[in-house]
Amino acid sequence: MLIIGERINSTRKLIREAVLRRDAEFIKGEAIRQLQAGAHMLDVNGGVPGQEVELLSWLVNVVQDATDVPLCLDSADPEALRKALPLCRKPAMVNSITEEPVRFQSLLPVVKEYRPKLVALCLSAEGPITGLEDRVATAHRLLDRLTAEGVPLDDIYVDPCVFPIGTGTQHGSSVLESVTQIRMRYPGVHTICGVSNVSFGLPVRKLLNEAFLIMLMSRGMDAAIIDPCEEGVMAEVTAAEALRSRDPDCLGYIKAYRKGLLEPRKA
Amino acid sequence: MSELSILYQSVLEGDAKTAVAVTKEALAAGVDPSVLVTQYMIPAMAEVGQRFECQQYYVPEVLLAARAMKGALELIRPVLAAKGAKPAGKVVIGTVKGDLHDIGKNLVASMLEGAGFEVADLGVDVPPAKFVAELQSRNAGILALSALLTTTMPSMERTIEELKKAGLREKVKVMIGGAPVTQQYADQIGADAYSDNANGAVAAARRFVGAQPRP
Repeated sequence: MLIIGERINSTRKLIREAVLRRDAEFIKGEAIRQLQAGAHMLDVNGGVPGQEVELLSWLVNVVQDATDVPLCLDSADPEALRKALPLCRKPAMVNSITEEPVRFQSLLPVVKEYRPKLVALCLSAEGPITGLEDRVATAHRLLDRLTAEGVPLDDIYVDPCVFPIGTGTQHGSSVLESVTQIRMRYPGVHTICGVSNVSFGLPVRKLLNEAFLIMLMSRGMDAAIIDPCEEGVMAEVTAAEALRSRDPDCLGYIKAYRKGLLEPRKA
Repeated sequence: MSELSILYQSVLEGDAKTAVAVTKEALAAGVDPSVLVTQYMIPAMAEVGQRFECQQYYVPEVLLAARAMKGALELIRPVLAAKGAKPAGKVVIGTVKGDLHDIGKNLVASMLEGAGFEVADLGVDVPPAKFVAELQSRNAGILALSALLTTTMPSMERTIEELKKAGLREKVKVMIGGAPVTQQYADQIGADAYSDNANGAVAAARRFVGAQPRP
């Protein structure tokens, strides 16, 4: 299970404040924390109006100063991506491309030139899609178009687009079922999502986030953007991997236990 | 006839069925529809807004309450129209281009409608040109813009630019809102009002049309 740490996102107040004062130490701290918690990749978002081009590159440099893992560049701005992608020491991921005409047309050349991994987000030209059929149809169209343009299927991570269940009772099951259907049509395709969107507006978000992550894993999702520092979540990922038979002889689980990763830190 | 306080309760609790039933009964009994709106439904929604602010109510409860009010308003609208009641003002509302968030925007739209405004809700991901076209075709005097991402806030500025280009800036009052939006940003882009809650949006709209502040 590919775990991408979501904390370094300039739309979050604490990060935005650190970014605006160019507090490299703070950002490095966030990167290291997430890695220590078990993240395999780090998402970086420099989305401050008017500053994204500069900030995305700054974040890449700062994070790479402290860590050595691949980065997920959370931006739809081709200029920001063109500046930042060459700075990435390890193969990067771009989050994300959609069906929206301007976005698709402007990002495709960047993708073809730099060949990053690519999150394909199920947003149609008409806007958000919440119905199951539409989600799956959009995923299919996106995958067909991207592969026709020469993007390797193995580089694509389909994001069914998670909406808060607080705004629609069906939003959870719709995503879960779409993962199953997309994977049936494209065996081996990678799927991903930003899990915490599901709990927006409801109390005790951690419960919903963790339950949803496990449910998604049981449907075969193989990548997720989460906060790995959330107490208990990485232990649950480890357990879920073993339970869905992705941990030969449960050795990963046992190893994690011996490292003290499965139980709450004792005070 | 049921106690009208049940109307207040049913909106507060998001019970659309009861809200509609009580409204129907009241209208049939000849109760003034604007009384139903101003003395029962709006105060109920104001309370909903308050509870949401204090994190006592969660998003689904806000949506259910708005739905209950909407259901009741559907019965009231034709009666008010038949009486020749004019809307307090005409509003075009939407979430700006690139942004899909709409909970707050929907709440504000419901509250404005309850406050007697004619509201055209353009939904989400609305480009500046679409706002302008709607304002023109409806001859509306108020534009309400919502954005929940810092990355889409610039669309607010672009929409105001589009208004100027269309020669509408003097004729239309603009209010903006959304989690990352601030009074400072509103001042920066020349918006006429900013609010961080639905009640404030309604107060701004009423100010725009010159209505007396509600006690």
